[in-house]
Amino acid sequence: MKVSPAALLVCLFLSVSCVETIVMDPGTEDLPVVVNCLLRGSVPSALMTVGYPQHLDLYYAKGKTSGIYVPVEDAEVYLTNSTGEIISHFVHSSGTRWDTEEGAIPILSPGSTYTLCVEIPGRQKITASTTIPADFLLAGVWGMMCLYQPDNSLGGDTDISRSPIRPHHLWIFAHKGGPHAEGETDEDLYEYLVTDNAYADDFNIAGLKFSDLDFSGTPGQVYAPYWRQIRKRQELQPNLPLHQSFLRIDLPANYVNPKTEEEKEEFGSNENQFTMVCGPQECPMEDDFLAPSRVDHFDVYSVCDDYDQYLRDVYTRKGKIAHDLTGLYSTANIYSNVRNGQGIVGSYMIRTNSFI
Amino acid sequence: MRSLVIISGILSGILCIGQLDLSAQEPATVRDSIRAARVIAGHSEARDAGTRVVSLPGIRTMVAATGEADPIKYIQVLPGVSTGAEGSSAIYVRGSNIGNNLTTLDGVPIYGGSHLLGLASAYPSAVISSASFRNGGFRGTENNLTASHISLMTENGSFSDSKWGLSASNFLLGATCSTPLVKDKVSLITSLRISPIGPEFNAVQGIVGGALDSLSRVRAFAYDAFAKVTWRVNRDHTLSFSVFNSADAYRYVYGGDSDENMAWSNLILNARDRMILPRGWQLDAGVYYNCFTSRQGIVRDMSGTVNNLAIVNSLNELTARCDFVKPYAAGKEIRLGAVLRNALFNPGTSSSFTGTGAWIMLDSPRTDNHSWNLTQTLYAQWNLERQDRYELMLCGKLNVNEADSDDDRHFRLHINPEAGLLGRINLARWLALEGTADWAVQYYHTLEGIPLGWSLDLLVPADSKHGPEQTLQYYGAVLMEFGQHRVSVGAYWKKMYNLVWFVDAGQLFSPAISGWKDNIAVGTGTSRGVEFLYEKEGERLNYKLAYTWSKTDRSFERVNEGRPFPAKFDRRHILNVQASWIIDSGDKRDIGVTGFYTYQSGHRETVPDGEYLALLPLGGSFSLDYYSGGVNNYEMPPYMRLDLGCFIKFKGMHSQMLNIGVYNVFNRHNPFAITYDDRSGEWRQISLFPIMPSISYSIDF
Repeated sequence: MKVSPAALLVCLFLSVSCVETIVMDPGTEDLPVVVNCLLRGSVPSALMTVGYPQHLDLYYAKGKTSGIYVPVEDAEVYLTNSTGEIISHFVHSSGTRWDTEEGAIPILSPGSTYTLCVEIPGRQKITASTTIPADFLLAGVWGMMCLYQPDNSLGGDTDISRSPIRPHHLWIFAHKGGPHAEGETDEDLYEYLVTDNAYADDFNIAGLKFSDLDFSGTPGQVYAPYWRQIRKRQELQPNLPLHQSFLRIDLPANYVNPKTEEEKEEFGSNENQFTMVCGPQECPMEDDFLAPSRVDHFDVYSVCDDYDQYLRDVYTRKGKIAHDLTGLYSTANIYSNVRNGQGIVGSYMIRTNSFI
Repeated sequence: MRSLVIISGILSGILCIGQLDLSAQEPATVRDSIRAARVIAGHSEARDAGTRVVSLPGIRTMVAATGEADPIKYIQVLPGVSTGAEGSSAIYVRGSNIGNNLTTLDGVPIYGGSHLLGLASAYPSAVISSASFRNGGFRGTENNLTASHISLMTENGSFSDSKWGLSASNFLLGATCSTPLVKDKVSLITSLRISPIGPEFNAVQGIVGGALDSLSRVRAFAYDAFAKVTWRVNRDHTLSFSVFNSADAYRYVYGGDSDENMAWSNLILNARDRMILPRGWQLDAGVYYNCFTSRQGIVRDMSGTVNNLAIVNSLNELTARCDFVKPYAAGKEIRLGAVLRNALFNPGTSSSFTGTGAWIMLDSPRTDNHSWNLTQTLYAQWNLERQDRYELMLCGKLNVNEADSDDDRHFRLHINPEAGLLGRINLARWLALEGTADWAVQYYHTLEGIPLGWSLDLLVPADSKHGPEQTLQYYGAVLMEFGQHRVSVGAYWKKMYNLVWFVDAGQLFSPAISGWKDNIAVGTGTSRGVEFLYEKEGERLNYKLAYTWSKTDRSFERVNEGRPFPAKFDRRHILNVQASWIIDSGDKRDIGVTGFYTYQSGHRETVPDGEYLALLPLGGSFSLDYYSGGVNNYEMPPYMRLDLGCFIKFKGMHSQMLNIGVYNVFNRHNPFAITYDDRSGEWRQISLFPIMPSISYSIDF
């Protein structure tokens, strides 16, 4: 059908909306220096204290349209203890990364406060402090965990005592086939975790319940007790919410995880014990479970107050942007404890435990 | 092909024809009991000191996107007035908010005064007899405003013979009837307008196709109705009863996964009594009921989570007032009056999240946030005028306001004085000085800090915690007249108090807050500017140039770390140029051309300054936006538009006017709204009007 040019002209006039992509970039002036540093606490024991090399990222925040982050290469970076004594220097490694000097591994004691200082020529001194969280021990089997506070005065580094438990901010991730390794992606993590811990944070719950995970099938002989435990737990508490990607548990001092009589009869009466199950899982058919690379693990991080607040902000923002329209409306910055800069300086202790 | 041309022609006729007005039109008059100093401007406008009278015949030659200009479009080009988004009826006068302006219809406020997302006025121009705009030197009858008063007065019905009218424009079809119910005693005027925009859009989309694919399932409904009965009890006594009702509702799906809707409505019942009392007193008394509601909602699927968000507003007012006027000497009069206003507000938000996506947020259902507000006002005003020499107006008011209180810690009662001063002196035939000073109070707020993309304002009451808004404004100008040329250069300074701001826009729909009252910061605003106006009035050639330089900021302790920041519609430069030229004038017809050019600095938005990477325990990459604390830190591209048109006025027994024009000759894509496309992770600018034809035709008989 021929179309009249006049008609086309009229129709062109009648088109009434135009949508264009825009880049709103107010410019790059006064962008801050970013310090991202997560200090790993040293693990004390009766014989020796194990320290770890530390590293951090140091760079300039970039404009929205800029392509790369410009690293800070010329700075003096050091760590001081609560008396102001410098206990370690950082040296530039490559890109944005700075590491503690080789052969000078700092000992970062749980409960102690340390301050990271960054001095860049022409800029105000950047500082941030963190208090190393208390150490803890994990004991567990068949997906059920207990948190213990080590009491080294009693001697023996494997002695699990029932000393008073300090508060912890726990962040728990479940890895498929072996503990956390460098370069791991989200695909190496289980998508959902579920727990009966009364202090689990519901801010990252998905719209699903424990009963929505499928634990049918007949597992291999070795896995059978584990699989049976999970099914039993699912029967008793089918409405436990699934958490997306991780668990955050705000554990108070001397926490107690209440149990019903039926749970005590089935799983034992230890009131510090809590269950963690991840999914979706395939029914484990093989008995070849002894290879560490085949065994799924929980990584349990206990983090300091600052990093806990920061991490919660980050994951809230991350989740909201994907699923919540109101996440786009907030113009507040993520929490930062860095003075005269941006980013986070935090600390953590970590324990890893296999599911079985 | 021929049939297609005919169909297209009919379609363009339906969609592009402006006002086809068959009703009789009375000339525009200014209703004032005293003849103030005026700047008579021929066919353009007459100007009271501190007031601009809107010339209703004059606006007919304006080119408008909808084919139908209205008083608001006229006011938007005056100095000191900043406009909102493209094509809308929003005005920001001397740095104030849109909610600080008061539009009244026969003295009754209209809170939702627009149709079609702000493109046309909600009140029918066919029943408007006069319109005026005042932004300083507020009178005693002007209450509950802090920026400007747009006063619209309606016609009385005909007492002698019946008249009727039909109108058709791009987006509104209307009918008007003016008839005596009892000859010379009781009259009726009534008007009804309905918008065919829904079927129109669907028809256009069917023809245009791809260009409009971003919008689907468009449903639109708009109408307004007005009726007024006037009873001449006797020579000195007139009663009138009027009803006004308007409603707009729009719903569309944008981008395939975002269902958006907005609606608002007005209902006004107005009874008025005017009489001349003994000893020369005049009384104007009335009672009115005013109900305004609005709602805006979005339903959007974001990666499996269905977000259902809404902002809802309602305001019910019952007001009684009486005004007494007494001229007591040549050029002198005194006015006394009282107002009792009872208002019930119910603003709020709601949110619900469903679906199988992760991160299920907690719902926040709509809660009842009723809050009442009782205001009693007494005023006294003194007017002094000596024709062609000077004019003086002094007004004092006392307001007693009682507001709702959630707790016993905050005092419920506010006692607020107000004052208005206007002065004008003619130093010579060609030179005059003019000035106004105002201390004004308003008992409701327009909540600022509403998230990006939410267009409808949230009206919240002044209460025990968030006191009434108060404004102190000074204005001074020099006026010069040289024959047909007039120049005015003025400057103003304004300070605003008790402005309210929603601190974290992301929390507006959160269940963590119990209503709008949480997360509110109270602060101040400052605005200063220079206004320049040059007008040339001639028999054939008329032109006007208006330029405003202004700077407006806001300051809230809990926002932007307490540092002042620019207001959203802080447009630094506004330039408007208008011209009309009668090319040929004869006994049978006049032919002329018109032009309008506007350049305005862009409005402000809050955007992240930069970004950096988050530190996650397992590594991985996630970018975080960084806000330096600069609220409204980004200036949008400037707004610029050129309209050209021509008109033919046919003289004779039935005068006719034909206007043909082009809106936005440069086809510039001026930003109308900004929306976030979560699939691509990009901000998108929506421009509403490209180059468009504008045609209108009217006939009087």
